[in-house]
Amino acid sequence: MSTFGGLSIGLRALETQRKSLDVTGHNIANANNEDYNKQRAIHSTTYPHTRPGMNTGFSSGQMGTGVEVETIERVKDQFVNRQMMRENQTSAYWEELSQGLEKLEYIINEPSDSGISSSINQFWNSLQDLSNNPNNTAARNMVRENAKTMIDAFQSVDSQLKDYQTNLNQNLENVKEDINNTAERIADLNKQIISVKSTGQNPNDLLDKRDALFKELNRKINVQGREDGLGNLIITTDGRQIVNGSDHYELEVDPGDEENTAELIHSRTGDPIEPTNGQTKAMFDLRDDKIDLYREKLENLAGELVSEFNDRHRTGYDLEGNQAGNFFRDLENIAGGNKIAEMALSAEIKKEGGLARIAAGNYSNDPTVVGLSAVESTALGDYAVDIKENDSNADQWDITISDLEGNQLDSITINKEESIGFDSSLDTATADPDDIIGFVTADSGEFNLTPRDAGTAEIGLSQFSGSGDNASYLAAMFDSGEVVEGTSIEGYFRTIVSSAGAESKRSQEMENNQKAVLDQLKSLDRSVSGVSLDEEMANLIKYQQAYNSAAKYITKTDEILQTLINMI
Amino acid sequence: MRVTNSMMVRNILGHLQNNMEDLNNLNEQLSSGKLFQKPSDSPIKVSDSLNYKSILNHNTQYQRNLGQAENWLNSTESALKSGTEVIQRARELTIYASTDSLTAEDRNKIASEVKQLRDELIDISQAKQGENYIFSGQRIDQKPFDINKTPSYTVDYQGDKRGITRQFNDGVEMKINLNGEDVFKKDIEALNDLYEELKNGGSGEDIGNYVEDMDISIDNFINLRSQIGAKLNRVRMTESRLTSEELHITKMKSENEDVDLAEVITNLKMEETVYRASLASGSRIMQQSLVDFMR
Repeated sequence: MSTFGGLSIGLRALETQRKSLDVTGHNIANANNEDYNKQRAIHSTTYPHTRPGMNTGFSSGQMGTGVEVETIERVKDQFVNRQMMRENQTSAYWEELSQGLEKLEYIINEPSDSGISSSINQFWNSLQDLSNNPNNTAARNMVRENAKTMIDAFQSVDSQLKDYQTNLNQNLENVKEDINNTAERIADLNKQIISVKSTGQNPNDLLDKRDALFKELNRKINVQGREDGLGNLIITTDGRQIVNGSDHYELEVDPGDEENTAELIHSRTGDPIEPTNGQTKAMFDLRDDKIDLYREKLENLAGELVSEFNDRHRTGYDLEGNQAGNFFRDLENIAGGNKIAEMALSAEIKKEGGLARIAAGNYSNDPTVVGLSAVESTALGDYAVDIKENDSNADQWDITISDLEGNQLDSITINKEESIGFDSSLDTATADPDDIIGFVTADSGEFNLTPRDAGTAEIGLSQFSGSGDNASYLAAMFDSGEVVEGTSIEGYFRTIVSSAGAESKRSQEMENNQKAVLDQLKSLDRSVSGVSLDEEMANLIKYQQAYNSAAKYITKTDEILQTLINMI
Repeated sequence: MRVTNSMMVRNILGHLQNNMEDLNNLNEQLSSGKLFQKPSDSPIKVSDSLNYKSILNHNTQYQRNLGQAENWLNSTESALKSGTEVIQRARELTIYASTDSLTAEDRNKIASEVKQLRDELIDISQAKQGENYIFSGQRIDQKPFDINKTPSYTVDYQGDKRGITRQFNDGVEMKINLNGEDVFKKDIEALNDLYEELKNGGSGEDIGNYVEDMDISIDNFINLRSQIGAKLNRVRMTESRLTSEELHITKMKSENEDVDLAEVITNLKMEETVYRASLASGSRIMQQSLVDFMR
């Protein structure tokens, strides 16, 4: 040990405590930085001094030469961190999904007084009123107006859903930008980290930053990261690299051929990227599955409603006693496109004077579709109709009408697929198939027989303006249990509402669960890596006192040297 | 476990957030009076609620239909009542005129009264409900009878025989009208015959034969009135059933969707206490640190 060795021990101690105090200060300064991982100055002894010489053997080992800060360490639990990354993806997925489904619920707008279900109810009310007052213009007007309201309700919900889809589609562009920016910054950080590492130092703060960015990226889209031997973070998603060392490869948006079918593709390979988790996955799920499914269901409902209503409407008579046409525009033959968007009143109802074309009256209470392919007898109010194929000519029907006591009133033979009316003003059946064939019935109005599809025909009694039977029949459609996929119209709609609710509820619960898991992990992480001010304060005192003591030691060494110098 | 400051702050904030959310939910329930605002709050209940709403709407409509049916039946009933009175008066006159001791002048007076009665019966048959003739079947815009005076007096029914129905419930309807032909035609013709007999100086015996016609008419009216009475009865019973059903459904709907105020307020108080406690403990813990005790 040299004469001045003590001074250098003291100096090293001062430096080391000083550095440790700086690290403590850095920790305190970052106490509220969520991404910061606590740092620790690791003290270790400097290389010991072995005294050379003859009498070494008598000495009690090597002489210590003091202390140094060997490294500044980042305290971090890698296991917890990896778990957090994974849970973060899932958490971001459910967060986005539950937000989206909640939006869906708001769009469906039930229960409310202005939603689809209310508008259906009102429409039903107006049909009932029409059946009570079939020749009343006000009642007819209410039917038309309430039908418009119902169409509006359907269209408003559907167009909002579609807008939401478009929004999600456009947002893909923003998410892509975010992902690319983050990837670029990570690539930059990779470069810096490598250069610091090559000097043998720990780039703690840069690593913290990179971890934070990776976490952010991880929420956007499911990514996998691994560190190579040099310390580069290499990131892949769906099997494609997006960060490799200091390079990054951008994602691009392929707008797709059809509306709202944009996809993510990898710019370098051109391969499609299919996210399996994270915010992006939720956006795809919402756009392609959830919202689309509800739009489809609504469209199905609207389509069935329109076609069934039209079918029933056509069986009726309008105010002038003419066979009615469609009430709604026929949606069967809409080329492509969404049925709801095309929903409208039919041209003849919409036009001026269209009110009279609403079919409140009906042939009979319950228009009977008679199978003409088989011999069938059908009771129609006061009459029984028998229809069978003509024995000698397979292209003709024999039709017999009798009263309920079984007295035959008249019979007729007609060609198949012919529209035949039975008019009480004529009392003989004329043979000309182009004419409406006269047909006597006992003091009734008219019989009408209108072949519909092949093999069936509707037969009923024509009625006068006082008949509201078809309006009742139209209203009864809403009570019928077999309109849409075996359920009633309102029942089907209720299923839409409750399944949207249930799905949204589930995703809210998943979001909460995931949040709880993530919170737990964050707590664990912060427990290991977070800054405890109390601890730092204690460290502050610890290092301060060590510093003080080291200073004292230098003073004492100085005094000893003084004594030595003074001796001379 | 090592506890750090940011952990503590996060925990406190997290718990406060949860408490606030609970408070907000209860507050929403309290201020709206409903247990749920959107389907996800309670998917099944929302669906039930929609169903109850629709049932109630149907119920209200059917009650309205019943009200109309009742009006219609009442009009029919009062027309039949007047009709009975007319025939009864005609019967009295017939009996009075069936003796041969009456002078021609007396008979003429009676004849003109019978003529009035005949026309009154035609008036009665033209009873209206709103704009509509109630005895014309479904031809409600037509008077039931077309009367021709030349060459001979004829009464032609212009309505039809079909029923006017009102729906009282899903799939339940009732025919509420009587057609004029069945009710009035024979009576008008009989009164006219009686009038002509009187005017043409028929014998007392001939006139007396009309008493039987009148009796049959009165029987017919009584019969029809009892039919209408039975229908009115059914209408009223259905009405009271629908009313009690309405009460019942309203109650079920309310149980399904309305909040129990006492319960919600109690819960709110409880949540509030918890919230206050977490605020207090949070502020106490956060204030303290080793710094406070260092020189």
